Amino acid sequence: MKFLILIIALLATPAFAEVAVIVNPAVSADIDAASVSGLFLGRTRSLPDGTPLAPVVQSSGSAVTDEFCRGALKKTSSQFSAYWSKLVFTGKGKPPKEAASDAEVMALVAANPGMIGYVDAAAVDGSVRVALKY
Amino acid sequence: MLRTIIVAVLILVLAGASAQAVEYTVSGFASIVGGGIVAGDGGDPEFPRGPKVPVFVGDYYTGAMYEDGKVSFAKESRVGLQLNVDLTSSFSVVAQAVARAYTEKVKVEWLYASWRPTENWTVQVGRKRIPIYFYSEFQDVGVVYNWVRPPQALYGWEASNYNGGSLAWSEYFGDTSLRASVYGGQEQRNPADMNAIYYDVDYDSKWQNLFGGDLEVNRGWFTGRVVYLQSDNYSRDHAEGGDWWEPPMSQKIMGLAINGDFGRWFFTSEFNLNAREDVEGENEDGDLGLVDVDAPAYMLGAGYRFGPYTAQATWSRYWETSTSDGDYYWPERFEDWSFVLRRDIGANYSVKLQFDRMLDKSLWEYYGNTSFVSGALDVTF
Repeated sequence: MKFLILIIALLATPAFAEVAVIVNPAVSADIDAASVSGLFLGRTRSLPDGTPLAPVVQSSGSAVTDEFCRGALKKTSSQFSAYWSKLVFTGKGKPPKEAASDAEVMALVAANPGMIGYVDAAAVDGSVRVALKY
Repeated sequence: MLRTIIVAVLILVLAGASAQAVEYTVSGFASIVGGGIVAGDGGDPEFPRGPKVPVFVGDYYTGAMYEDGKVSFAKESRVGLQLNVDLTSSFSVVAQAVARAYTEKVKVEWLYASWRPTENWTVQVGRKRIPIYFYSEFQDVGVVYNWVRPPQALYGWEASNYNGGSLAWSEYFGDTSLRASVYGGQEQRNPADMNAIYYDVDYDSKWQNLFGGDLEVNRGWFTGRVVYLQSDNYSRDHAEGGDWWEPPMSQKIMGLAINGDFGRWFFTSEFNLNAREDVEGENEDGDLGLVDVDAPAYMLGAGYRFGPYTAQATWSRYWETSTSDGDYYWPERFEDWSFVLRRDIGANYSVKLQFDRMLDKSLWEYYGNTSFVSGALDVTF
């Protein structure tokens, strides 16, 4: 009986989609987890080699944002939203650019070497380069 | 005057920059807050301006109080709208207007130009929040903290914002972030709404020669902040106006905040001291410098997160002492125990239910003791 319950529980568990952090193909530098965290928390505006990158986020309620926050930033969506609200409304940061979908993020990143975003890994196409996956 | 200058500069720069790519961002926050006293006793029957005691102060800065027997949604509810105009990648102008139900006014409370020449340095000039205590700068953004309101034992003075300038430095070393700032300016409130809690007539307040600095460190679970602020504080009968300012009191504020976040469990603590002393005052007998007030305030809280819920218990205390106890000054003292349950509905939307037990321990009965229930719906957009 317990074995059956375990199987059902495993089958019922939602499969978390992989999240890919993407940049323009012209950005060739290696990007590590610390850089991703620093960029998306507004702590830095460039990679260690000086390449400037501005973050693009998706809607705070979306599944891909939830996954990205937990994997890359070790925060829940609520904590990430509260973190940025604190910066924005106290003059310590500029709100990151927001895109409405994976497709919009990819279009922005593909057209702008100065942007970094995150999308569902399954949505990635050849127009962008995957820097990291979570 | 300063605001007029900044608006003029903004208009000129925008006109000149109209051909360039200027980026605008609009963001906002809102809180609907309601509350009422469910049980209480005591209080000064001759409380200024005649509310029915006991009373519960919701916001010292605006003077908003809940009085016995009345539930209200119009004491702390507020909406804020912020416009960020990026003129270049390092130069921006920010304006934040807040509409408060209690004051029935919409005011531009923040209006400043910001220059970030490097990643580490930021210069800001204009009107901003005085960063006195840990939660001061984002006190209006309810969704960012767990209480319905930051403990009023620490939060709320005659002045909340200032006109002046600040210089901030930030640096990150791996898991450690550091941020320090120095700032200076002045503020004048005509009248200062907080004075309505203490006086039947309106009093203006002026904080002049304001100068301060703070340092915040964050590493993993640990966040610590120290602050120092000084100013010369003047008050004036609002009806008199003109140059009829009372001799100033010197004010020195020191604060230390230590917070720990362990994922599910977390704690928050803060200790502040506001020390005020007559600089050249005279009492009715012509004696100089006899009024000084030390106002230490403490806050200790702990909480637990489970699913979309957060529960937090907090103790806070405000305990004035004065060498003039009972002669020319009657110290204000109170303690508050609060229990709040918060539920995150979405990433930027939460509801809260809070219970406060406020015990008036002043040397004379003033607010009275209250059991107070309040709720808040907070959102950012």
